[in-house]
Amino acid sequence: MKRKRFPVLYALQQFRKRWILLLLPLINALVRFDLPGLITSLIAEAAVILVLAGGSVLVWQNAWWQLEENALTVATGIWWHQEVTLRPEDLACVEVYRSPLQRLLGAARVNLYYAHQKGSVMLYLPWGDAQPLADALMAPPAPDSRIYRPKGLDRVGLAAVSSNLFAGIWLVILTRQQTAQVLDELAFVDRQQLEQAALSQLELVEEYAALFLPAGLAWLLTGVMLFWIWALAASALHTARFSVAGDGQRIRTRSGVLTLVTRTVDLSCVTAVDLSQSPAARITRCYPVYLRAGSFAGKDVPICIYRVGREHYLNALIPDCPLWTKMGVAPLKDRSIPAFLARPGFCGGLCLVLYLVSRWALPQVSWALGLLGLVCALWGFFQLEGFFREGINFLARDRILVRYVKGFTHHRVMVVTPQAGYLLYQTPYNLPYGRCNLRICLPAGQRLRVRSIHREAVARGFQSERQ
Amino acid sequence: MEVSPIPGGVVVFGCYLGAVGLVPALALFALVPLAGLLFWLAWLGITFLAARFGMATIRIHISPRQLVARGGTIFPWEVRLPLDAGVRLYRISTPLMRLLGCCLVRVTTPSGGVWLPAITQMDARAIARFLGGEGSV
Repeated sequence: MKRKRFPVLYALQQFRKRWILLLLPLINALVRFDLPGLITSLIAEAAVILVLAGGSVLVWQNAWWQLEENALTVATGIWWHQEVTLRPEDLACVEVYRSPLQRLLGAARVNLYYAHQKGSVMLYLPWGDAQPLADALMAPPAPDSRIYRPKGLDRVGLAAVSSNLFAGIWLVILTRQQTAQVLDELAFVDRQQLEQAALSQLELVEEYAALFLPAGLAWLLTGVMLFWIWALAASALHTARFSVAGDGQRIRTRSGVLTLVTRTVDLSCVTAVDLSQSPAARITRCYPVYLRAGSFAGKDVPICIYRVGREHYLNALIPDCPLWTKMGVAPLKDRSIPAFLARPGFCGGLCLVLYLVSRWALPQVSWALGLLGLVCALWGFFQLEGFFREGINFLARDRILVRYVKGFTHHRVMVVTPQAGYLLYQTPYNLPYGRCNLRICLPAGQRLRVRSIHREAVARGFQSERQ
Repeated sequence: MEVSPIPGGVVVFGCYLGAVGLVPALALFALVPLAGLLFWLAWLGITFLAARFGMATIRIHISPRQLVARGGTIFPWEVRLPLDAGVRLYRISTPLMRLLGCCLVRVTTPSGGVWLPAITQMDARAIARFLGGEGSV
């Protein structure tokens, strides 16, 4: 195949990369607040835009890609010219991504994730070239391969997270009430009196702080909740029309409504399979399963939804990966409770003290502190589950099942690569009991942490695994 | 094969760490001489403890399939790195290190890396040969 040029979107992307340079001419004028200087700056700004646009076009003209029999070559840069050659066996995952803008321009983004090192290569290609290139680098599963598509309760389970909307709406109403109260009280306050008080009388300033703080806090919480809802809505759009196909060698997933994503993962490069039990997943009893392969972390879209009694889907997609197997945990008597409860305990205690103080000093913020205290209590509850269930089991064929709790989510991770690194570390408090913490470093930088496990048992497991 | 930091190498790193503390100590000395002196002594004490209970206790065992490094007395640790693929070795030395016949080695793999401080030049070459024999360095 002869050399091909990237679409015009590549030049736009190059321009966007250097947008920070656009601010340089304006800084001086804005800092001095100088209007005549601003006009000069705007002229300089136009010159900078022209130079940047010209540079982007030049970079675009000199960039090319070429697909030969067994390798893809990508060339970029003018002054620092770089040619990267990628072989299909170096890749763990090929992803074709089409945002609404890219669909409008007839382009697509292809992400190529390395199998044995960190990082990925990103290419903007015309849509007509993107999918054939992805198929050439990593062949799709056979047409008659098993297809999983969430239906019925699985789809409801995925959509259930949108129930957080109700909490968000409640917070907006509460915030509106708080703000209205502040505005009503402000109507009786003279502005000059406010300024004099702020300068001269600290007590009055405190009163004003007490007036504004609840509304500010409420708006902050509302902002956080709205951001959360926005993230959930984006996630719901991202996971819509989800389907997955696999033939035991490769897995291909398709998802999205506005943004279309097609991923092909080479199963020989899979490093870990993660069954995530978040609170929402527990309520709906639909547990998402995520795949990690090489430098591909795959945290945004699961490869399938696991439900009790329907293990065959997961088994068909990833053979020999019994994530649902019940495994024993080490004896609990020497386990360290502070290792699990120290953080939520500290935060919860702080919230409790602040709540008690606010009850007589600043009752308007008590509800927010109570809410935070409740979140800390829930956090502590989930960490307590980690105390009982966190552990590591060494299975046949160099596979390791890791169970750990992070935040509110319980993870069951099957480490399937022999290339994982391990760090065992102890503290003086752990030494007499012979326990340690374990950090598992997967290739390409992902990390798992298991707390307060028996050091000797883990060391024996590693020795038997490596023999 | 097994390697450990050599005493001369630990002294070199002690000197470097000590020199790092000299800058704030001198700045403090210019303001309050006694505080500068005390800071410098405390820094040397911490450096000595770090070298004695941290660096000097490291033991490295390398087999064809994995590298195991153990160290630390107060905070014991153990690192296990598979040497199956993508292993890189970096050898760093300064004039002072070369004078005392030691160097600093960093071994990296796709799943992490480990610093091998203050080992002899001969040991470093042996490790390079050992890993190079696997065709990955």
